[in-house]
Amino acid sequence: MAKKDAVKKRKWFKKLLLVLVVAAAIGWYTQQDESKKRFLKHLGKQVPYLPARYYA
Amino acid sequence: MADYDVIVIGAGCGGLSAASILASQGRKTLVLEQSDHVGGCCSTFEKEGYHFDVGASIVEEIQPTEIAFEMLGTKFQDEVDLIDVDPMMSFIYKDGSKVTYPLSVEGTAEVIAKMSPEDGEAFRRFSKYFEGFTEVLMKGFFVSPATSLSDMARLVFNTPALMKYLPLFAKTYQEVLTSYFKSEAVQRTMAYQSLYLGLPPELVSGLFALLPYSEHEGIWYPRGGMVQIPLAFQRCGEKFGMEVRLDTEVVQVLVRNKRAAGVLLGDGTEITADIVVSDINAIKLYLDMIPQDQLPWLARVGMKSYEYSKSVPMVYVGLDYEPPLEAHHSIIASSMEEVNDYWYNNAKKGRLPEKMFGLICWPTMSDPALAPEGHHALNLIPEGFYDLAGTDWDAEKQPFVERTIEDLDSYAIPGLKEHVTITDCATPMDFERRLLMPKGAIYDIQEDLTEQTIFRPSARSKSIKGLYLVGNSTHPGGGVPTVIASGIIASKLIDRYE
Repeated sequence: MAKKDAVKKRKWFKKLLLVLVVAAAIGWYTQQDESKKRFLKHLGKQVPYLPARYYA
Repeated sequence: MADYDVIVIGAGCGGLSAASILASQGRKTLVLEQSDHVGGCCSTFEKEGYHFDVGASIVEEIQPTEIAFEMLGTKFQDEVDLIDVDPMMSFIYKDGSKVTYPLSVEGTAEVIAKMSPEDGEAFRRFSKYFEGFTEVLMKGFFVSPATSLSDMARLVFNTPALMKYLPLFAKTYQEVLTSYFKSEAVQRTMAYQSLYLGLPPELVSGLFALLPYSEHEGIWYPRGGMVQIPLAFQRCGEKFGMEVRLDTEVVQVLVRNKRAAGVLLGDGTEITADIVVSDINAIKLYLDMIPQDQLPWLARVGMKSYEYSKSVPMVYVGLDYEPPLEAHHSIIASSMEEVNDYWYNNAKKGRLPEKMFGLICWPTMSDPALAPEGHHALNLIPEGFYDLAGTDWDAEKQPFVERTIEDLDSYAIPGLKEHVTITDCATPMDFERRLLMPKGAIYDIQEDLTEQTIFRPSARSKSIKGLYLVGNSTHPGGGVPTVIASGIIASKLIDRYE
């Protein structure tokens, strides 16, 4: 039972960590000026292609 | 047994540097070039006594070139007569005034200090910082393979000083430069250079803010024109038995059991080889010249995802007077906002800018013998993208040449119009046809962070064994020193794996 609780806690902690990281990233992004946002969007659009480019 | 150990497709600087080094290592090497001359974008042509460089107009960051010639048992300076280019660059403002930066950092800092005292001091700090960065790049990054994560780990391990410059990754070119320089007049001398990477200042990584510094390390012009560099590689390679065949078009890379086995020529001849080195655009190579059933789907997706770098029209002008310019290179000074605006409102919409902006090269300032006595040659490189809305370059060519000369005559080069003796023009469409550069993209694939190093087409093909890439398409990217570096890298990889 205690083991199950520990696993649950770990999972919950991981989710919390993920939410915090995402929130921090969104917070950081919203603080950037419009020019920097365009730079980040430009790079962001290319990210899905990176695995294929790595094998090109 | 194959006809050759190595076949190199394309006699640009990347192809010839790789071929000559491989020949010097005792490999039987054949270079096949579709045009009637070597050099590709780094070549020179003659018209009515004037000599014009096709594309590349100076040489800088010569360390990779020096290494390549050392591998051939000689010295770059012994093979090519290099003329020192100083001043480094002149900047022409819209009111016709000019600011000229000498080669020396201190001299430039003094010129900048006259425009803005605090920026003069900032230039000294900026130069010191990027001098260190350039040294780190030249030590390892430029001449080391970057084909896999382990290559990258090795690169960082061997040049730990690279880590110091990591913060540049998170910044833009514009951010780095505006953090150093506050005066708009000074910023105007540094904004345009971002377009060398095919992107405007706000979309280029901060790493490339080294560009306004890099030429202060030294720039040279080969006496006799840029073609002297590929000719020197050809001459050295031929001493080791390298063969060069001009006017020979390769239409397919022969692939057997997922291994390169030679090439098929346009006339139907097959030439076999153990290794094929490609100095042509990687997208064209993989999607048009290799049987698609031999390629993994992921490689096809990767190839189709790349974006092309910028294309430019080149206007070649013969003059019967000395143009009132102050340096081998002049740039129409433009603000960060103007270059960004050009990108979004002209380049992306296929609209040519109303006013010419770009680069003016004056090769006869350095080498007067390139024009008849008392005459001069200019290469004008105005901005202008391949895709034009509602028209194309064949229709726009002549009006564009006239508009460019008219515009420069009005403020930048007084007297230009009445002293023109001849003109010629290579549009992005001409570059595509003559040099087989898709979309006329002179720097090939775009150079942002997602199309660099391990994300650029691999110098050692991950799909076809025995196939290697050199030139603008692969690491470290577009430009004369970088494609020569790619030749060194390919020779190292071939030495390691074949």
